[in-house]
Amino acid sequence: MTNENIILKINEFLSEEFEVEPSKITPGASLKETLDLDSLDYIDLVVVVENNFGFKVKPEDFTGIVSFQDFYDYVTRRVNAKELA
Amino acid sequence: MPSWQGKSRGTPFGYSIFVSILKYFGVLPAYLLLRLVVVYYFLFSHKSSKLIFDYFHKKLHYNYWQSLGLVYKNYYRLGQTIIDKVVIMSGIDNKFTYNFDGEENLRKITAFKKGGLLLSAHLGNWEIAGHLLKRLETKINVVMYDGEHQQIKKYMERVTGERNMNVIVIKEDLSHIYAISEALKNNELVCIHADRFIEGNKTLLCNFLGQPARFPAGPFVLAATFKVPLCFVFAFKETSRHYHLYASDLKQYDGLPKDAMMQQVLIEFAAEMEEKAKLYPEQWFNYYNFWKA
Repeated sequence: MTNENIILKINEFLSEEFEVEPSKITPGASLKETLDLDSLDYIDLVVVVENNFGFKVKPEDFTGIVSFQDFYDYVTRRVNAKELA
Repeated sequence: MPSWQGKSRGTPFGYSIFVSILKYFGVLPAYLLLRLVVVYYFLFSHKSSKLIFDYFHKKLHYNYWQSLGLVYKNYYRLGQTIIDKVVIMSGIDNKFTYNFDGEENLRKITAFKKGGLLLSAHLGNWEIAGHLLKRLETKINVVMYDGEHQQIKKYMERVTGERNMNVIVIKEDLSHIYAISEALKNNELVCIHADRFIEGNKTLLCNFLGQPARFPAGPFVLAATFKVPLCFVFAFKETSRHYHLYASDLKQYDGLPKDAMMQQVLIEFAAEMEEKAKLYPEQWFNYYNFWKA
């Protein structure tokens, strides 16, 4: 899967799952504020990522994720690592 | 401010007096002392007394004097459940008994081996049930906000030692995500209070006792996300030494989209809360305006 395809897939399921206008999902936007995530919503996010990409997300993985770009980078890194393994 | 502020009341010194009485004299003298403490709260906690009075008077339609009496009884019951919790958790000799309507439903959940989600409320005290229910032979995890004063928490940990029941604390570091999903994968039960929210967290609206009230969205997100067996649980104190535990039938929402499922779970949960609130009016432990928009 190319990085572009990964980003498209992420945007698609985030927009659908969290009912956010696709236009609001931009690389520089805040993940937490745009998706209106509270402490228990992150569970939803973790489950959606695991179901869509098939890798396990650890809580500490979210430490450095602030923007959508951070999130894209994290997912693409994990997907590529999985494909290489 | 409509939401719970995330803090419990009391001081470590107050708790230590009660623990000493419990250890050396037992539960009944502690209840006696509690009656005096309750008079203090009854007379001087104007804000919470007013809110709880309105709950009895305006929502449950008790008359003025009945409502006033119920305010006192409410503080007393709250104190008793805290004392009972300390007794049970710290292994002090006790004669508590309980009967359990719907225990078979929790057994069904554990037989599925998919884990289970239990929704409860600050109505009665399910945490007591978690400690009493050793015969269920499964681990019960209680998800809670880190709301108690740290000093009291440290003191209680020292007194009670390791708990029979695991507490999953919702923290900024998101460690609760891993803890909840691991617990469910290990076929454990995860219990969360679904009635009280902290300001800033997402909420859902539902009619409760005749007026729309805000409930925390999180527990219903969990139900719709994990889709594990689900039931509603409550535990009420009926006499000095007897508890009545309830577990509802298993809830099934096959095929419902996420939002519809969340709303349906909430409607059924609020209906169950209403029924129990009418049965045990004095065991409503939410001391804020539950209905404020």
